[in-house]
Amino acid sequence: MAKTLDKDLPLKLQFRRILFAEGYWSPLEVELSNYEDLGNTLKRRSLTDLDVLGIKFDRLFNRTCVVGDCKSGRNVSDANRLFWLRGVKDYFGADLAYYLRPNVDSHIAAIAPKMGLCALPASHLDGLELRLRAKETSAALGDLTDFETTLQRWGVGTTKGVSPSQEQLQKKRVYSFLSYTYWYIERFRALMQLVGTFESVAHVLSPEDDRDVLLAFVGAERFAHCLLEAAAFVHSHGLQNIPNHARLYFYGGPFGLREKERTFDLIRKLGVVNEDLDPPWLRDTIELLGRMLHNPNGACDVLRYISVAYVSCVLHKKQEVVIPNTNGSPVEAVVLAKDIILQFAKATGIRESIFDSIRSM
Amino acid sequence: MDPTLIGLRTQDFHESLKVVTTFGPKEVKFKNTLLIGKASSLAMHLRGLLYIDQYEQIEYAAASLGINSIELPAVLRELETIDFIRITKSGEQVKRIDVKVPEFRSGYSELGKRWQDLRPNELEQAGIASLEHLHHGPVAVPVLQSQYSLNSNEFAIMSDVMMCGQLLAIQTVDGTPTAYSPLAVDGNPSAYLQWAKRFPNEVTAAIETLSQSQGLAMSDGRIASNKTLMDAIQTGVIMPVTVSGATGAQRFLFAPRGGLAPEEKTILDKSRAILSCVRYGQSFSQGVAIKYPRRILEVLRDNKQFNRGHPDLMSQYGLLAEKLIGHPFEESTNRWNFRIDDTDENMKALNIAIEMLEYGTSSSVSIDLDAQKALLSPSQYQGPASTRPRMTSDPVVSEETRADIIRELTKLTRGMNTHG
Repeated sequence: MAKTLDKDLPLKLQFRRILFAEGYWSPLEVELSNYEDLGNTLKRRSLTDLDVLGIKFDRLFNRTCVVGDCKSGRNVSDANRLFWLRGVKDYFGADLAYYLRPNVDSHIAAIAPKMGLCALPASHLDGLELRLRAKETSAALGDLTDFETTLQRWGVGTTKGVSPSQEQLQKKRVYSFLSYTYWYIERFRALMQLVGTFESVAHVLSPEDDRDVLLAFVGAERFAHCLLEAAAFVHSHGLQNIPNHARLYFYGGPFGLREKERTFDLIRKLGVVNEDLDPPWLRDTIELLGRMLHNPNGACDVLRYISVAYVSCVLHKKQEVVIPNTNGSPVEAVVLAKDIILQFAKATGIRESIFDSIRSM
Repeated sequence: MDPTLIGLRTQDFHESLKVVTTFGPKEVKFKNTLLIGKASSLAMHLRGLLYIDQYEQIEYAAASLGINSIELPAVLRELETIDFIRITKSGEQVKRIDVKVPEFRSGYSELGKRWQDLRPNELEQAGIASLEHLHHGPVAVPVLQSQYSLNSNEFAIMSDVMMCGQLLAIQTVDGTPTAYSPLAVDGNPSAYLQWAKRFPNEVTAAIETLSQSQGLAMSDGRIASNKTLMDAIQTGVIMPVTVSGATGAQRFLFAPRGGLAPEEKTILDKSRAILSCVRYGQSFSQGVAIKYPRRILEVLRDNKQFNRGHPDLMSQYGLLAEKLIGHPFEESTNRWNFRIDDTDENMKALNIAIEMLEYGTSSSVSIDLDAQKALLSPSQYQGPASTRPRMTSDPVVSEETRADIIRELTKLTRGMNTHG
């Protein structure tokens, strides 16, 4: 998420509302990076950012990914943007890509489909929003004021000229991870790294600090995303042996798992540690994954419910999360979303009270 | 003691004592054990559900399991403490109960640890330990008494409570009063006690062998060379299940399990038959041996038939057709599959077979079908067990226990008890 508001924001929020109505979870301004190995460190190069990212899992845990590029300015070369968007779509492995403009010239409307893209003018978006009842459905997720409030809470909040404290520096690593590293690393690594990253700051996150509460909610959202990716893997291997397939996924396949088990055996023989390869929280996380796989109606909607939980329960201080025209079972989604949030707190060691706002959800 | 075993034994206490009318020593001296036992029983029935949004449903289910509506909040609190459920309230009203009972592990370990955290008294500790001891074979009463630091009064109270629930029985064998657990006896207790008398030092190990690998083939080296087990088979203490498959007949042995209602015996009998057929496929099949027995059983439970047919299936699963569990059908020429009849009883038998395979034992033999129906029905289910009063049995207590009750009541009458 960027710190400054831009003129494309209304368009981005409108597209987010439409995606939300269609069952997508949609982070805005996702930064894509590349990392270079410099011996003992990695150097990050920022490539570009996605204005709108949409991810949806269906009840068979198949994933659909959409990227959207929003441009409202006049001095834009539409053809260049289309070629750029096509590249971004391929780089990110998205299924669909949308180019969104206040007006779309006829030649752009003609070449976009040839490139496997969809160019839409604002008028078309207005019609879509109306037909899909996206404003009512999105439960304030596409609201400009809410977005601004959320944006102000994002980041460590250092004052210009003042050196950041140790705690702020620790948190900065988490923000960096969520902003770009998370989207770069292989999907199967994301869960372990997410938990590890939050574990390192769990003791400094306070339920009294609005910034920390938002950070924790974003972490929980990503935790849900990791679990859904794992669910997709397990589902494709059959539901007969969920714990084994889940471990295979989290450790990067049979070879990765075998290698890690052997390494752990060696470490144990050295007497350095006497622990299992599996971290203590993994057992309950796999149980949770099993519940998601057995309740796909709710599981496919948990990402949207966690996003709305922040807006409804934290920003608007409501006690319930209601999403009209929900895709699956609303109670199942609420139960699983709550399970995921609390399991995230348990796994990372974050104080459960940081999620107190969802207690009566 | 291993917390998993403690969890299992607390459930034995509750299941056995729920049909005994309330009386002092049971309620006062064993309150932690009964509380965790009730929690275990309810947890095992909730497993697999995601949430319950009608409190009345859980009240009906609990009633079927011998947990009344006054006790239920305390039981739910225990389950919440060990993170097996999460209660969401709207004001004072329970809005929803989210269920988190583990599915890929038994969950008894957490229940056992909670029992330890509740600091059970010496009687409870002795009760749980002696029940576990008796699961491995009978023991002379003086020997049992000497193992725990209980005086004769306390030992009498413990025995009385356990005897009321038929967790413990005492029979004289060659002049020695011998304690055994009816839960550990399949058939005739006299034959079982005589067997234990003949092999006093070997019984525990023999039972342990069977518990650790339920459905052990008689041709297995651990049995063929074991005089104790061979004697138990010859005298009818342990009754093998015979499967006549493609490579001939084989017999399979199970650790004894008693204390069951007639309908529960039928279910256990079916579970043993199912597991025996799978064991046959593991060790005596004509073609490819079964590698993952648990998966085979889970496929049968979830899909009601095997993924692929096999020429041996007709004979190998014939026993299950005889027991009305299902029927083989010809998938293609000389290729048979087996379809299980999808009844509550058969599904429960399959689950128990899976538990026996995985954990060696299964407390859920006494899982109440009425309770499960109450939880799964949309609302307002009134199962026969919850609407029909159960016959409770009155306790038969010793002089020592009676004296203890009177002593406590006298103190109360005299105002001798302190209040905090």
